[in-house]
Amino acid sequence: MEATNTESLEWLFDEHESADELLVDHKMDISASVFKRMEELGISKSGLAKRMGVDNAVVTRIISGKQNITLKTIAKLEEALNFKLDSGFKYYELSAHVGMATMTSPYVNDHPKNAQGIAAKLDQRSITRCYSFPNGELVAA
Amino acid sequence: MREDYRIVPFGLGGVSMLVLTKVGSEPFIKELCTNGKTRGDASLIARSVKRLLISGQEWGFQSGGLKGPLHGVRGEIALYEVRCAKKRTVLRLMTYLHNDSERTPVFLFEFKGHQASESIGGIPPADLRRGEDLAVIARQLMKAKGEQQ
Repeated sequence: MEATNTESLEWLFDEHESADELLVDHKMDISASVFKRMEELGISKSGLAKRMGVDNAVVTRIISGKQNITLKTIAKLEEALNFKLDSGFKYYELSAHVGMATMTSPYVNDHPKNAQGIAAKLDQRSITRCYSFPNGELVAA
Repeated sequence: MREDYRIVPFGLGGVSMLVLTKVGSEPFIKELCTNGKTRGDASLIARSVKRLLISGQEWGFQSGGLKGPLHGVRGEIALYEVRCAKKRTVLRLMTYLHNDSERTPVFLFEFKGHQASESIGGIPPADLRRGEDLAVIARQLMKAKGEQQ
């Protein structure tokens, strides 16, 4: 619902962030991605905890952004939720439409120049939905 | 309808942050931007609000980024607190959620929590009363906007 004459505050995203601020940002990005994936798969917190083999409280802390997550925990999350979190901890979902990639992730939308190249790759491989990673790898969803 | 207030949209890359603003005054987020000492706070608010708008209010409630409806509010106004987490503290935004299909948030003002001994749920009573008054105005403006469309 962005109005045409809306003043943009996107420049604020380029403001310097301290390590502490980045840490909080990463935690909340992971939280949002995990929660979105849980909703997609219809998995509860206790269901995810069971899949990961951890206590329910660990999942609650991940969702609330209070858990200092280790790479091992990230790997467990990825395995349990069958997705990838290694793209800056943000969840990317793409869909190709008539030869043009339509970015459903706002994070990817920030980089529209990526869209055409990805769309071409999708066409070559007849993939309609995929996850895209900064190294160029496309994984079918 | 109150004509001394307006709702100002700010683009955050695909989503809009609606801010209630008194005519002739700067929106609170712009005031934070103009001061070098508080620009970091504005950046944090922009990032947190974008994440909330994208990820949805259910995620907000689960993650603690959205709290409410606030206790101690008179009447039936949907007053909420958006919490932008810093390392040890949080920035708090008094927020009205409009009664439409998306429960569109209108951000009212930034406030400090736990600053008064008689605070209600960590919110100073003066801020709660101010939030109530502004939420009523925001509701009128959003309703008028909805009827225009």
